[in-house]
Amino acid sequence: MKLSQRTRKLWPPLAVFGALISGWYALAYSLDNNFASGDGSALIIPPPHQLFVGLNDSTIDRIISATYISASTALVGLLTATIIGILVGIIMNLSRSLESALWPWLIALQVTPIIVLTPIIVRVAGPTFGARVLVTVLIAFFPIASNTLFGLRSVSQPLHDVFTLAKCSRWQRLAQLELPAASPAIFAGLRVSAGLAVIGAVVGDFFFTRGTPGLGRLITYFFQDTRSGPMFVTALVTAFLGLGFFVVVETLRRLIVSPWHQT
Amino acid sequence: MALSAPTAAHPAPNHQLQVEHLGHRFDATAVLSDVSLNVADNEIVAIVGPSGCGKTTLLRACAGLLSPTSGVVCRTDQSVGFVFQEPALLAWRRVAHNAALLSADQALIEHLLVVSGLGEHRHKWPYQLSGGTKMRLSLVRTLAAQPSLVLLDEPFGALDQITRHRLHDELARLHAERGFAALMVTHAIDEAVYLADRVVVMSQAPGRIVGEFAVPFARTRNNSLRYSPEFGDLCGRIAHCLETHA
Amino acid sequence: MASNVSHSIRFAVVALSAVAVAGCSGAAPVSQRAGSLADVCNPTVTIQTDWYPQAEHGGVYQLLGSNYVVDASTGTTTGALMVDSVDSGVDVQIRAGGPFIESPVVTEMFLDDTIMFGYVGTDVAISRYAETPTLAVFNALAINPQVILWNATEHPEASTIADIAQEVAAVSVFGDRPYMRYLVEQGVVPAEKVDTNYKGNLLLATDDIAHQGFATSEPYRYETLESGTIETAFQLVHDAGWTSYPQNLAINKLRTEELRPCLTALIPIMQQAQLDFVADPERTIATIVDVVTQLNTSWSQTPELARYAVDTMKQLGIISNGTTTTFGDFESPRIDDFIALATPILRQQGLTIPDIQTSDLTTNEFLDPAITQP
Repeated sequence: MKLSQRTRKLWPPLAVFGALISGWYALAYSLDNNFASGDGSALIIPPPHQLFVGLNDSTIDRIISATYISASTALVGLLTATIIGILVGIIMNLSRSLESALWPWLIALQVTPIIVLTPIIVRVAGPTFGARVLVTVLIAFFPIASNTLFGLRSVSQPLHDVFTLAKCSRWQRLAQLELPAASPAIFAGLRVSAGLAVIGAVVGDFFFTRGTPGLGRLITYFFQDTRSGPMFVTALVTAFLGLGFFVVVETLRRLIVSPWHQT
Repeated sequence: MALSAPTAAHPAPNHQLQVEHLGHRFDATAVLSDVSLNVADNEIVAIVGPSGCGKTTLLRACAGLLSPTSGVVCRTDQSVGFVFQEPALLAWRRVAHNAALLSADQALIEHLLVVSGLGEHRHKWPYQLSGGTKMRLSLVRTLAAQPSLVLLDEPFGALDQITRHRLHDELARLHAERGFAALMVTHAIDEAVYLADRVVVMSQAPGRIVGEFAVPFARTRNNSLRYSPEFGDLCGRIAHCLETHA
Repeated sequence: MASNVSHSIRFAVVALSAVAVAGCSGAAPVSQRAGSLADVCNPTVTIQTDWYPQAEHGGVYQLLGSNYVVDASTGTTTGALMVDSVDSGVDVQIRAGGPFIESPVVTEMFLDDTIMFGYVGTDVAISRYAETPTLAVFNALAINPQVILWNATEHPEASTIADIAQEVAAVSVFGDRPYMRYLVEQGVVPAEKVDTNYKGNLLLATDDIAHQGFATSEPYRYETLESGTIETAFQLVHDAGWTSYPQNLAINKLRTEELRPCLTALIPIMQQAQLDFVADPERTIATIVDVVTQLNTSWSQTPELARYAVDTMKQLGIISNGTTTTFGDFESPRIDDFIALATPILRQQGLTIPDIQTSDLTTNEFLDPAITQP
């Protein structure tokens, strides 16, 4: 693509970005008494150029620690959700009765706001890393499970027949036919679950109130201290964390699935 | 799905497949009734019949993919090649890797790829191939396992006329080179006559055999045969038989 | 025709001048009533408290007469500001804090120009001095009633926070508070035992916990539970070393000159009101209970609880002259020491704390030194 073509492609997203920044400035300067402080810093919403006010070393350390907690929770949660989700999908594919037995519980889990279950989980499992991961898994695993089932079911009868005639074992069929065939669907589910895992890690954080805070709780602390700059920066870090997870999954998908899969 | 239990009896010598009084019903509906036929070594037998006459059921029973409700299927060889109407390729494997799915004989696979004109495509993904090329790959894959019996279920039905004719010659060439018995289901009478040594006609459901025609043409056939009056005459007779019992 | 036009023009000029003059007189709109404060204070003196109405706020509710209006949706109580049963000419509006405000009190004081006073503890004043500087003008409570409390029957040996922190599974506090960071840093409470999700109910806790509370409230509430008495023990966080004044009456420091005339007249009145309350709390206790009832929230207040609070405040020296005879003044070595103690803790939390003195945060200039607790 020529350079001029490439730059022309950039205008729309840049224009949206510009509009967002302008809107942000407009909001910050239209709020009553937003700048009524002693040093001119914002009390409610910091304008973009004041975003890094108050970001001293201690604060940056706190944000980094919180990012580590939330990121590790989301990562372990996503990996666990992937394994469990694929396993559940495989189990449900074994028979229609297993599928109809498990499916309603999956749906129930999906539509229940996990935030409602989190205090119960904390009470039962304690405010441990394992409980954090459990909350994340509960939020993130459904798209993977349902997409795995869908993908496994999408294998055509002739393909199954080829493997039957070759006298393959159940495991060979699963590993060499069904799972590769399901991988585009699994990755599609994984893309959704990546974002959900970060959300689960950050939101669940509100209830894990012992030890170093994750990003969710840190935002509330900054809010309680009226430190709007650090609060917004932490929110941005959270957004970038979610974006990062998404990009990693998408990159994996490009490497593993895209070469041979045409939707 | 597991394969049906191996059959008890053995086909007659020089025969690859023997089917006796095969019948099948799905629940209350009879699909096949009392089909008997056999296929000799190296022989190509074509089955033509109207839609729904149980041709596919017959073929699946011969492969062991289905257990018939009555009758017996015997094969000389436990392993059998099967070519479906869709190429049934693994989308996540390149051409060469797909060809190697059923066989470890690298030399044979390589030879088959080259001979079928797939050598230049060996590093491509299936989605990049045309319909006819995918079908050739499906044939290569099947034959790489060196089956002594190959079952084909309307393998060229999804392709256009020119590609079909090309693949007829491809199949004939491979048959001449490798040597195998074949039972092929088709709804195209010209295809049956062009390729087969014998053409069997089935009635509509519940299917049974209502006619059998020997194909008198020499083994090495080319396209010009299609325009000969003998060819047309035989096709006409088969068509008449088909329509009478449809 | 011409005379009509010139008449209209003249009228317009007069009207505009009147408006201009009114605008030029600047500052406050004038009170409609006559009274001792009418000339120097705004028609409504607004005080932003930090919680629901309670006995700790007795001094300001003392300013209300028998006529007042409660707005349950905003949590405000408004009535004439009475001095010795005489209308001072201005109203007082007392705003409840807690769930009625979105931001902390000290931030609200800067966001809302109508607020004159807010309750700002010394530790909060230091934390927020860079962004929202406040000046404390009167301290109603000499000692912070905040405590860490625990079940005394389960832990009969523990008498200090350090003791109980060893024995319980967690110490439950409200948020990431500097006093708890201080206690952790001093080794009084182990860091892993701090639970910032405040669970203020020993009955409902699944773990064995201690939690923050107030000496003036929780011990009484636990003893009078319908489901059965729980005997509690506590230590004041003040005694554990966090000597912050808890509830200073403070103003937005940027408005000091603007408010000076009113402060000069009003602060001695507030000193006296707090002393009057402590000497004879019954009338104001009734007011507080009535306001809480009208606010109609989950917060409850009974006359017995309020009396208990007043007695406790007297007993523990929470309401006292301190080391000087002036009631409600800010005592220098104590605040100097506290600034030195708190600044590193707050900086570690990531706050920007400039080097400040006691005189930056507090002033005794508006207090009447003759007003003293007997």
